[in-house]
Amino acid sequence: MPDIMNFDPNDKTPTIVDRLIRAPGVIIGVAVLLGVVLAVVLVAVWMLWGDAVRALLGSQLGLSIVIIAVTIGLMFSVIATSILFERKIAAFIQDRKGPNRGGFWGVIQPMADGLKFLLKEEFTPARADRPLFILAPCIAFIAAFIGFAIIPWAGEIHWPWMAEGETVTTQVASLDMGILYIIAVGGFGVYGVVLAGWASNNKYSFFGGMRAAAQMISYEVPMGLVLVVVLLAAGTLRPELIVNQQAETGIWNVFLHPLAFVLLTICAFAEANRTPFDLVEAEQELVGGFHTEYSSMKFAMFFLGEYAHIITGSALIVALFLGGWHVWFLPNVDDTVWWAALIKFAVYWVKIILFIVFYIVIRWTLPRFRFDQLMKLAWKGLIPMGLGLVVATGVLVALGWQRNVPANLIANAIVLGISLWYASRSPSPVTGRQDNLPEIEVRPSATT
Amino acid sequence: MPSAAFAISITSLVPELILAAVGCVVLLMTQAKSGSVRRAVPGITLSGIVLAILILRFGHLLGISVGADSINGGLVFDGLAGFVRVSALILGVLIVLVSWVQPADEERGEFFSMMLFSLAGLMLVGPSADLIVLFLALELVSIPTYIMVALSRPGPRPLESATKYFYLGAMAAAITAFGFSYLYGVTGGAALDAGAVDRIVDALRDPDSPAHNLATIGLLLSVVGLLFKIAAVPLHFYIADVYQGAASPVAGLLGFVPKLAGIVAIFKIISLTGWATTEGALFWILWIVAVLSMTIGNVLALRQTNIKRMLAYSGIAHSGYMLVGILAGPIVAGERAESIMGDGTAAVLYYVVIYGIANLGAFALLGLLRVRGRPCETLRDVAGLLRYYPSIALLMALSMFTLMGMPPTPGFWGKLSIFGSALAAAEFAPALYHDWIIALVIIAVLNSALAAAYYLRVIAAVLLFESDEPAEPTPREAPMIGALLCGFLLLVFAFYPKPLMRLGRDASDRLLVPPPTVQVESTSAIVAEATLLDESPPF
Amino acid sequence: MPEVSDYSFVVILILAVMGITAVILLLTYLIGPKRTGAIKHSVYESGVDPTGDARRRFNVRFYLVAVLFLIFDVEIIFLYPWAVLFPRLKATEGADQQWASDLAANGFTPAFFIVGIGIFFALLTIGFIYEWRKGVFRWD
Repeated sequence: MPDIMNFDPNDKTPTIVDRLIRAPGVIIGVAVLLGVVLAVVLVAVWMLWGDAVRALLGSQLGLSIVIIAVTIGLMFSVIATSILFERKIAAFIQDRKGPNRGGFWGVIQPMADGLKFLLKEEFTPARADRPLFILAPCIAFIAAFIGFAIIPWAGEIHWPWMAEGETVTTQVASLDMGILYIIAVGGFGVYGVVLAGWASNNKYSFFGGMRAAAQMISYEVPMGLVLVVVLLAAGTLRPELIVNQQAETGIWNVFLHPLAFVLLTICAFAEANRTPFDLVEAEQELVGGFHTEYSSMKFAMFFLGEYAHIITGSALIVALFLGGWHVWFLPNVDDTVWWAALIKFAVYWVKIILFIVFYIVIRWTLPRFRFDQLMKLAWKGLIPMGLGLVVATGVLVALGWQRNVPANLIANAIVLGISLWYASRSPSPVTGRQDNLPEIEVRPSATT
Repeated sequence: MPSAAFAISITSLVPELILAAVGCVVLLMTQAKSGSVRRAVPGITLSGIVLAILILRFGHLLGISVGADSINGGLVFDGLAGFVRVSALILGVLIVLVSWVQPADEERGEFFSMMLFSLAGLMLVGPSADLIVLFLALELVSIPTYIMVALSRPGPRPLESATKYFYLGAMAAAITAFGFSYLYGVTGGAALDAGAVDRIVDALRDPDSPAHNLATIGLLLSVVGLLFKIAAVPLHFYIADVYQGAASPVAGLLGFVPKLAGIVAIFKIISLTGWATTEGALFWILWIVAVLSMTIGNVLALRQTNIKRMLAYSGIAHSGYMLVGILAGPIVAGERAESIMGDGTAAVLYYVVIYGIANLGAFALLGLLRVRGRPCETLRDVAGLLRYYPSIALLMALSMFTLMGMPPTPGFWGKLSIFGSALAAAEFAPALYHDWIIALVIIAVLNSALAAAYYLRVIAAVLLFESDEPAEPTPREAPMIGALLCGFLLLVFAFYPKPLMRLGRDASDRLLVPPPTVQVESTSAIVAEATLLDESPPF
Repeated sequence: MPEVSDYSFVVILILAVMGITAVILLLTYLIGPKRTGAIKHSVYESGVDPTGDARRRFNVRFYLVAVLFLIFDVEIIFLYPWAVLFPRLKATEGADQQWASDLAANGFTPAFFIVGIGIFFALLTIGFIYEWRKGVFRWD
């Protein structure tokens, strides 16, 4: 055992623990072992309490609970993995190695991070508003993790033991208000950030919180407008029906409303406070913004919440624009066998993960906006375009062409063309006031 | 006839839609880069109102049944609606002329668009036959007026007045909405129809029913909240500060637009009780509010040397007179009154318009005049006008005589018919109430005499006094034309009051039994009636 | 199995996530060390002694953004019912068709919905243009 008390940081000789955790074989072996144990447990449960399990999976309540458990578990693992991937991709882009100490290729780094968060001191500064200080990360965390309730993961399932024609849906809750639920829950997340900024009683936090609030509510407006476009074409608020429409016709909404897709993606980035919209936590100016005073698990909850927000946002965009679980040659709406549902589920998560990779690549390629540019983009760029798109889609729906690809593309092109034409006319689209700064007269100082 | 109902509902709103559309255009014109566009704002506003008048008068020639007796979606275009729309548009012309040069150049578009929205709201108060529509229309009247007060002239004073006006107005609106919610609870619906009247009357008659208290509280809160709009006593505190802070033409507008809206809304609420105004709780409330409004308004006005404040307090007193007419109601001995002498509501409608014109005329002249570069406000400022500007002095005297109720002026006819209708109501009221109504009329007459004192002060200052430094009128023509038109209308109504009184009588027609509900089956009957009325438009 | 409303599943989810939150917070509270001190409790201002309170007046533009958001979000929320129902008006079969024809019979034809939303949208756009020209959207 290494002597922890007399630890010498300059001692480069690998200990036995170092060797173990860096050996690929050991980690892969442990992973396989865990997988086998899990499989054995599942099979054992199936053998021992088969009837109860079948009843559970066959009822909507039971299936919803199973989906809640599976999805939360999956979200945690995807978050852990994507944190590692984020650091690895960042390292790749910046031509360095990234995490490589925790296990081979850094694979147990996320676990080590998580453990470290858990072991750190739970600390509330004396001048902070204690109840709100604790409440804020909870709100951010909860709001981010309950959004997926309406995501239609895999369509309908017909289990072999169920009666003919009976199905259960692989959705936590099939709400008639559907998309509105996600908007409401997403809007709730703003409270976490603002409360954190207010409760910390720290100037950095306060400004970060104010900026975050302004940014998030500004981007909620174009997001709402873009959702109107999709709903107008779909005629329903239920995401499962929107996915089914895309699957049945084989035309994903992204081919019908490419501009709306781009706008919604931008808004999702801004809502999640991700680069290039992360000036809420701009290190250079605000030392982390609203979570300056946060540490240990309370900080981790903001962190997890941000990634959960990304996953939920990606899932929403996938459902609305990228066909949800649908891929052309794979099972469709009518395939309700359980393995078809599994394939759909996998397809859905592959799409989400691709989207997360997109997020990460964007983060490490684009610079951060300045605050006025950010607000300008929302209010003078996205909102007018959103209004134009709503009008264009309304006209198409009135003419009955809402699923006509060329008509939609032409409408999108017209809106984009008008926007670009107007943007080219305005004096300085994004560079702001730097163009108009008066020339500074450089005077030799008196002493020289 | 499905599409016919829709067609009626849109076409009958064309005048209001024109005002709103012109309001939007004017709002955007504020931000125009060229100054000539911004200077065109008052002209466009005026032409919008004139267009609305033309559509209202000659729309039936184009197939637009604007004034027809059509019913749709909580709007009933009856005589009252016709009266409100006509008077709103005509006074609207005067108001635009009077405030032609009012706010600063950059804010003129906003100012005039708010004016148009407010007028459109007033025009919607008339036909509204639904609590929700009524409330929305009232707010559409009020909210632009808060903004207009703030925009009307530079400096901190108008901002202070606007803030006061806004907060108190919001509170009053909340009270009204609260009362409306009780009425909704009693009637089980938002419609102001015969069914609602039945339920309210039943509830009021039966003191043991659970709805009795609900109905009483609902009526009380609704009426009290609406008293803010007409600046009657419990909610009158804002008025002097607001009038003084606002520019004079805006103060003139405030004397008419919210007042007519409030009076019509009170009509609509009280008609729910079947005009049971001469007995019970409603009688005492109206009686007390009327007496207090008259007396407090006049006593406070007596002490003022600032004419704007004086006119503001006298506005409270005039609201008191109007409440006397409301108390008299359109019913005499269970029947519809035979002439305007017995018809309190018609008298009140007539009186509101006359008061609005006279008040606007007085404020127009105050706004027109400048003393050492600042607007004319005090008695000293207007002294000796007769010698330098006789026309202005005479117009001011005419306005003051009308407000005073001097015999041949239309103000006299208004007061006469209001008091006459109160006496007619007293004749058939139960013995106890009879005496109290007579007392009310006596108090009102005494108050009119009291009011003469301060109006005569202004008249004396203008006509008799001398001044070394008389006020100068602005060189612009439009406000002067507006003031002249006010005087002209007062003269017309002095010697030819019949048409306005007839309009008022038509307006109070439907107040006995509120208009029927929206019924799709009866659409053909409505259309038949509409075509009949098409031949005789409402004015 | 009794019939359960789908909203109860949402409640289950919320309770589960709240449970996870509570467990996480409790665990870190129980496991972590606890040390305290005046310096540790002071506000972080990049190592400099903190000056004044953080809860101070801030730029009025933030209020303006909040007001704009209120107006626009409420107006956009009004678009949702229309957006969902409008395509169904053109349904040619099934319950939607019956519903649409019932509405049309009462005067609520597709034209009514187009004109109504047109007026609403025009007002929204005019307000937006007005605010733009007024310079409300200038943050630099």
